[in-house]
Parts: sequence; structure tokens; C-alpha cells
Amino acid sequence: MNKFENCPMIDSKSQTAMTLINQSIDYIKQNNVPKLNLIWLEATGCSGNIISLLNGENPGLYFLLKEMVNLKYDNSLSPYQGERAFEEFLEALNTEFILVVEGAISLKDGGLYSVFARYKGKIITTAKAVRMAADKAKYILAVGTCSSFGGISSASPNPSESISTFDYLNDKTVIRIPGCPAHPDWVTGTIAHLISFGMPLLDEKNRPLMFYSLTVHDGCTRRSFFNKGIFAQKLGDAECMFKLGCRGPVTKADCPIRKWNQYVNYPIGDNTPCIGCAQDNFPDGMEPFVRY
Amino acid sequence: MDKEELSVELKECYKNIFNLKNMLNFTQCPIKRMQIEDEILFEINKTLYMLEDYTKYRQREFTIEELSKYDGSLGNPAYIAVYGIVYDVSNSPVWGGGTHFGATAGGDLTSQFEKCHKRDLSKLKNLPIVGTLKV
Repeated sequence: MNKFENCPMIDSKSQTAMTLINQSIDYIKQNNVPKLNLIWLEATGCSGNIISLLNGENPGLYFLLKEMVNLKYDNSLSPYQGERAFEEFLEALNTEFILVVEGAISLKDGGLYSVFARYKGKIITTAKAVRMAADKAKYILAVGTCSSFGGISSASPNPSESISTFDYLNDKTVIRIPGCPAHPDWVTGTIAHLISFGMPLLDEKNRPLMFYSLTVHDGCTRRSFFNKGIFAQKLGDAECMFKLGCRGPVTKADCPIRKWNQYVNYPIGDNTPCIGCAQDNFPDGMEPFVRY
Repeated sequence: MDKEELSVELKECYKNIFNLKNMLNFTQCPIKRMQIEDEILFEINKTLYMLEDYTKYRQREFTIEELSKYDGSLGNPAYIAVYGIVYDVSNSPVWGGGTHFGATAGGDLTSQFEKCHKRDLSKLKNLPIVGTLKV
């Protein structure tokens, strides 16, 4: 028998995004609502969040694209290139859409360190493209730690003078979905909530409460070791890694319950301390990641 | 902190409060007055903490060199000094591995504390006190 079979909490957690997705699909079919468009922009970052989304399960990316949203534009997945791709982006701006931005916004030298397109001889910087899209978007999601809090792109010494998308669009309501990368469920679940119920409940840092209400420490599989004061001496030990510099107590995310890579494991389950990637101050404030 | 030092510190606090009170008499600006009142409250709070610590927790005197051994590495306890009091942060959940948002244990962190926590002394309230810092 599967050892997780009897725990309804774990079952329900791993199905949250799927439940929400099914509800939104029912809603779309019953009310004859046209599928919402989605524009996914990549700014100063590593494109890790779109790769993470491709690894989604319950629901997978195919399901998301086929049943829920029309992905109008994405830097990595766009079938077009060059000016044609930018025209596609401009066309999509005239529809009703959800804007997803991953990566920070580079501001140095007028944003020239992150160029979005070259259109009719002019250079369009990412900062400008994000601003153009944000002015018309129905909802704006900042996906990933760079986009939410600045993250690695704006870490010291910050040569490109990057700031988070949240700070750049400070006149708009931006939902933060931090994580390095963000879990596919966090992204698809939030999009599904936006389609069927509108704005989800947010905490004081504008993160959806359904995914970011508990710290990693709260649900940690090694929590009982911490409570008893039994700590690991080195990496590889089976006890609590708090004394090695675990950032679980200051990081809000549901990693221990949801788990990664199709719900297989998460860092602490694999003997690595939490490095606090879903929290602000990452990475400068979370260093050193391991301390002996 | 011994008796003479405490009396010097208390006199210092009294002088600060006295100066602030004089400043209060010379200004009519309500915002400035509020600021000064806050400063006075902070000074009073500081004296209260100093007295409480002096009476309750006079345990051990650390020099900066002694304190630097307690940095939380290799299973050592993690101690920090704030406003002359040495606190034990080994088991504080936000101090994983003796580090806390870029600050490392084993030193005088008063300036960092003032910068980040804006003199919010309630942050220190639940930490066990192990001694005082010898200046």
C-alpha cells in the first residue's frame, strides 16, 4: 500500500491546482466564456520559470494551454521570431489578457541590458515592453523571485541596476509568486483562480495565501528533530539541518507538502538545507547557504 | 556592566532626556514634537532594560574577542551583543547556522539592529540573556 494513501491532507495539497483548474474549465464551458489570453514576458533572468512550468503535472502544460488559456506570446515558446514575433505581441495587447512577467527589470542605461525586440530599426527594451503590457493587462503576475523581490538579478553588486517587477509596476496590483523557480502548481493554480473566482486572497506581500501561508519549517519532515533539539553535524545526516544554516523558518512556501519534480521530493528531503529561495532578501540575505 | 558603569550609563540617559526635554520647549512643530517624544520614550525604555538586565541577568562579561568564538559554526553556540547585552540566539528559528539575513553571530550587532529593526526592542524580548559586553 502507498504510504501516503491514508493522509487526505497530502492528497488534497497535491491536487489543489488540479481542482482549481477543473473548476475553471467547468466555469468556462458552462458560461461560454472565451478562454483568457496569456502573455508571458521574460525579463532579466534565466527563463527558469517557464522551464519549471513545462515540467508541470496535475495539470501539465499541454492541458493548461489546450483547456484554459491562449498563450499569445512567450519569448521561449513563440513560433515566430524577429519583427513578426513583436507584431504578434502588439496584436495580443488589444485583447483581454493576463500578464505574467518573469525576471527583474534592468534599468541601467535606459534598460539596454535587457532588450526585448528590434522593431523597424528601433530598440524596444524589456522595461518598455513590460510597461506597455501592464497598462492594458487585466491581471499581472510576477513569477519567480527575481520578478517578485529582485532576487539574483538584483543581488549585490547589481551591475545591471535591476529592480523587481513588483517595484517597477508600483502603481498596479501585482501578484507575487516567488520561488527560484516558482512551482508549476503555484503558477497554474493562481491563473485558474483568476479565471474562475477572480483575485485570490493575498498576504501582506501580495502572495496567494493558498500556496504561501505556511513556512517550510511549519511543514518540515524533520520538524520533530528541531523540537527535540537534535541537529545534524554535517550534510547527509538525517537530523534537522537548522545549525547548518537552514532557512526554512523564515521562508514561506508549501514545498514540504507539495514537493517538486512531479511530487517526488524537496530539498530537505534530499539532505540539502532550505536556501530560502522563495523569500525576499534572497540571495544576499540568505547567505551563507551552508555553514559548518 | 558593573555598578560604576551602570551609574555612568544612567547619567548619560538622564542627560539625553534632559536635552530632549529642552528641545521640546523650543519647538512648536507637531511632527518634530512627536519625534522628540518618541526619542524620550526610547531613552526611558533603554534605562528600564538596563536596570532589569543589571538586576536579573548579571552573569558573565564578554570581551569582543571572547564573543567572536560564539559564532554558531561547528556546533558552537551563537551569541550576539546588542546595546551591551549578550543574547543567546542558538535556538532562535530565524538564526539558522548563526546567520540572520546577512548578519553573523559572534559580534556586536547594535548598528545592524538599529538599521533593520528601527530600535524595536520587542525583537530581543524572548531571547535568553547570557551576559554583558565589556567595552
